[in-house]
Amino acid sequence: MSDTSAKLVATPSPGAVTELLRAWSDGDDGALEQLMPLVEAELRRLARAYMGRERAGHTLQATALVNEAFLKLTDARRVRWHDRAHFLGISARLMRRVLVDHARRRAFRKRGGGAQRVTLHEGLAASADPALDVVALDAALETLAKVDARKSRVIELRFFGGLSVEEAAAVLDVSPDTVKRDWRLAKLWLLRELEGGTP
Amino acid sequence: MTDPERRQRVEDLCDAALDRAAHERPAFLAAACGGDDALRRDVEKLLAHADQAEGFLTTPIAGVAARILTGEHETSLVGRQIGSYTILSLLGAGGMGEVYRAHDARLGRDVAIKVVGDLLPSLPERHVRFELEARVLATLNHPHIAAIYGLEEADGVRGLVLELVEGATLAERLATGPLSMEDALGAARQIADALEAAHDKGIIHRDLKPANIKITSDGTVKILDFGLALTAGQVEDGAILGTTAYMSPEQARGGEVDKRTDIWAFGCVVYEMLTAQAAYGGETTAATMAAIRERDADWNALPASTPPNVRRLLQRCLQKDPRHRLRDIGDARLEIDEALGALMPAGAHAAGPADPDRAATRRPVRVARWAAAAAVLLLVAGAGFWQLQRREYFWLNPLDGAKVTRLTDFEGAELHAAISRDGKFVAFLSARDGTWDVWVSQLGTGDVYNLTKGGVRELRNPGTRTVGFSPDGSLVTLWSRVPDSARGGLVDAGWSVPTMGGPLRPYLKGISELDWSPDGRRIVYHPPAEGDPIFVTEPDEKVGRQIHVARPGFHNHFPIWSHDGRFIYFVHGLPLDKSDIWRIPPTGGAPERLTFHDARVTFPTLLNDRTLLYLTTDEDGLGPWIYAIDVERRVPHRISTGVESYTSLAASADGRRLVATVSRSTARLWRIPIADRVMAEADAALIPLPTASGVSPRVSGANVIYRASRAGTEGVWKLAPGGTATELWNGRNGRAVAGAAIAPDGQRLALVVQAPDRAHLYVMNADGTGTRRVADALDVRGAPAWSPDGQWLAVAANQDGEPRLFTIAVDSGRAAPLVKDYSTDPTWSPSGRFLVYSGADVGTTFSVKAVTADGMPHPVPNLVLSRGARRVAFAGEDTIVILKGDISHKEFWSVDLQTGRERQLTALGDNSVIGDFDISPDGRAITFDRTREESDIVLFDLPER
Repeated sequence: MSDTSAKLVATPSPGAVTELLRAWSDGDDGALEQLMPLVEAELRRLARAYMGRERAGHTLQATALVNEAFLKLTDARRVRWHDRAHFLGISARLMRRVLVDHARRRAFRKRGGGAQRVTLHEGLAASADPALDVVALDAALETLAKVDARKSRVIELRFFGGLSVEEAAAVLDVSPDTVKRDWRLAKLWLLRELEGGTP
Repeated sequence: MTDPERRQRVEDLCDAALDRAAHERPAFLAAACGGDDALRRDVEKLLAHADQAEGFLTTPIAGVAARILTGEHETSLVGRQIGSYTILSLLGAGGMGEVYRAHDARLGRDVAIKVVGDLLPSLPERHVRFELEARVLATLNHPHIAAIYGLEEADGVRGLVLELVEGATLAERLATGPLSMEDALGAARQIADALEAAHDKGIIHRDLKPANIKITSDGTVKILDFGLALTAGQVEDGAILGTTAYMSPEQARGGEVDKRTDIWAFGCVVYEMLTAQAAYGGETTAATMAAIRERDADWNALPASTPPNVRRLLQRCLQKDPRHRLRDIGDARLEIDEALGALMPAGAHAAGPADPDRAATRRPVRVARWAAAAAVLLLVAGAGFWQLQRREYFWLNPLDGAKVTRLTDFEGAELHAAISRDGKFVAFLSARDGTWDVWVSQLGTGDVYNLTKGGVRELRNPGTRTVGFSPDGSLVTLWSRVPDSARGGLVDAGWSVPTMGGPLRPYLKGISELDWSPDGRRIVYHPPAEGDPIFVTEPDEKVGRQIHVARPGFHNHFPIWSHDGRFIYFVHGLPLDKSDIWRIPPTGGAPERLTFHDARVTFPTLLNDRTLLYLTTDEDGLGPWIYAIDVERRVPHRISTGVESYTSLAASADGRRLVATVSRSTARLWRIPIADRVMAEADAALIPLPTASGVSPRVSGANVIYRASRAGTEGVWKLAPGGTATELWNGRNGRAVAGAAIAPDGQRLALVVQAPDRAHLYVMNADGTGTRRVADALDVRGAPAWSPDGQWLAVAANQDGEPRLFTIAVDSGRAAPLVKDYSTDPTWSPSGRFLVYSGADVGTTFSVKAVTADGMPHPVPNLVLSRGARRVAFAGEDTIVILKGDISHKEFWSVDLQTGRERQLTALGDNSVIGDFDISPDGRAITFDRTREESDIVLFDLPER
């Protein structure tokens, strides 16, 4: 597994993560690059712990993981309400990166990296659309981000991050109605985009 | 049009078109685009995907990412050889393992292999369950139950080799609509047959549902997944298993289940086959569970052609009380046979409708059809979906099924209800005999005794637990402040009094609250010092070691020891309205935050190691209500229903009994003159209000601006001299909190409105029009104040977790920090030279401080007040009026800021609580709110889970 980099990340102090979150929400993109490995390492650790203590009645829920990571990583006495929203936003981006990397790796292993459809592991995808080409979707989202960054983010937050309309609205600081509108228009846009690129 | 404008236009049209039915869209677009064909084509290109978009990206993929993060997927077995089986592809995966399609080279057939990897040796229960499933299946050899071929083990991988059943699940089939009556009854007959075989062997399926039933195109049915099956008499403690919509009421309660649970699920499945809708459904798990427990299935949804005996059969299967439910699935089979017989065309069977052998005559036909089907391998692999949703987590409201009894109906308030560990005694505070005393009642006897009889002077503190029982229940412990002979003033102390009556004795000096370890030998306590340090003692000692202290201004209240002894739970935050539940090991370490209410959290109590109950106001400040949280999963649930608010809560050690005080207090407005003598109750006059209640009065000329609740939220009203009131702010737009600030010319006012995330400051005209938010970046807290020159507002706002004062230019809305330490609730002096405000809370007290308008400290006499009311009002440039006294009972005093001389203005008596007030412009009267507390003790007897 390629998470050696994650393992090397020392557990950060809650204050440091809170600071980075704040810096990122104030527009410091460098803070995001520092944050991502910290969040990923914590999510991986928690995900394994979760499976480890899994009992009847528990399923692994992404939102639960993210919430727990937030509790672990931030200094609860200093977090502001909006910090949680930003954290959800980061987690959604991370989930997207993890999924796309995973699909790419799989494709590479299977076919030597040819430019074919890159779907997820059938089993992993069983809860989603098994035929979905995650890498193509990722590329389409990149293109969408250039013309309408917010719509691209709405898809990222809701589809990759599993956020509700209200949570996504909080992250983007817009109304839930705006999120709903973006969501339905962005899906049409993506379908049009993907239609061109897939057989 | 520029590119962005054009894109916007395309989007707007597309959005508008989506709001219309598909067939209306062409006409709409033609009209909306005018002659712009290029525009119309762009919109149409997007709309072309409208149907596809419905199902596109609808299921978030975050869960898949979570699984990838565990690293578990890396164990994929695709391509590996296990015994004589080659793994071909993964069919599905879930919490319990993975299911693969594999090829059996020896017998030349495909099979399903259910694998539990041994990568997680820490999960022995998985292996146990796995073997159980193998044993269960091996005993079941039935045409309508997917068979087991064997148990394979190779290279540390264990797999159940199962019959691969091709075809769609019943759930997938029902997504397209109901089955015909004949198909539905035919399938029901086969399901009943399979269940009968299992029940005959003492096996209960426990998770029967459409997704676990395969139905092939020729109508053959196979039941899958006995992974949850139990053999009769086997009991699994605590865990609630199964799938919500098909759970029997007893299963949903986590109670013991037997074969009647399968009969319930069978009824649900047959109902759904006939109607294509779940017998018990809801938007949420909670709603579904409620439907299962309380509602009847919609019998009108059954097709009119449903034979009467089938209708009756379903009603018997879906009886909520298992004792009234159909007892034997074999009876269902007989009923269905009868209905099927009646359905068959007269020529199709030789025997008449009354022929007892008609079921037998059908059997060969059915088996032949099944045998033919088995020879055909269909393509779709559906078996993979087995595990995905089979084990949902169910949260059960601890108050469900509780018996609720009102223990007291004294006039006035009962507060601080406590219950002994054995659940036999309840203690509480009441002023029934004229003074606040501790009362005790032995449950079941109906008698109540006054234990303290006026012997304790201060018992009430809404921010701490002041009454409790010793572990053995022999003593009632209580908190009070007593005069400190050594240093003067008052000192906190713990006292005890025998539960059956006797003398009051000091128990632990200098503490505010305490709780005992499960074995009763150790104590956790905190003294009323800055930061509320928490101390834990060694066994049988009374002086402990400090394990945690909050930073100055923050508080740690309500410490309780968990039942397993591993944690101290406590309430941490800014008193009282910005708190949450935290926990810390008794040995110390970093405290861990469990809740994120940031609200008035009080009275945590544990029902067991996992279930913590507490009171909290909700995000709008309403309540407090009773909440529960699983301390591991940490999703808070409001469990009290209705509009009653709760003021205390405590549980017995076994978690089966809960006592609470339920409040129905109302606040009204009063007026009392300021004169040379001390005013008494007789001098106070009630101000008649057209609203049911009133708080936080502010005098504006001849009018009084105040807050009043209506429909569960609080708005702002203006009372005119004639007694008429007009609503200035409707609470539906956000709950108004704290008193309003009125501009010196009376033409404008400022108020604080609580939104779910934070509080906003609004400015509006005196008639309620022209509302606007100012300094919206601030998360304001407490009451605002308007400067005498009308240019500025002062208000506290949260910064770095504590309130600090800001000034805001009214016209520009620009905010500037005024005080850099903990500071709240400012009042401007009449000259505008300085402002008086509250400093940080220490114990139950806070200091009155002052600052000049340009942010320099301003000297005032040393003035330490008790929490409960923070309002300071000026009666002249150098005289302030304050509320002074205990936490829950205070009188009006005036203080000369030059000399520090204090003078008592009122002596109103102890039976009500004054919250907020204002002084008339002439300085000769106080208008104040006063709450007469009315509350009662209720007892919840919780059912055994």
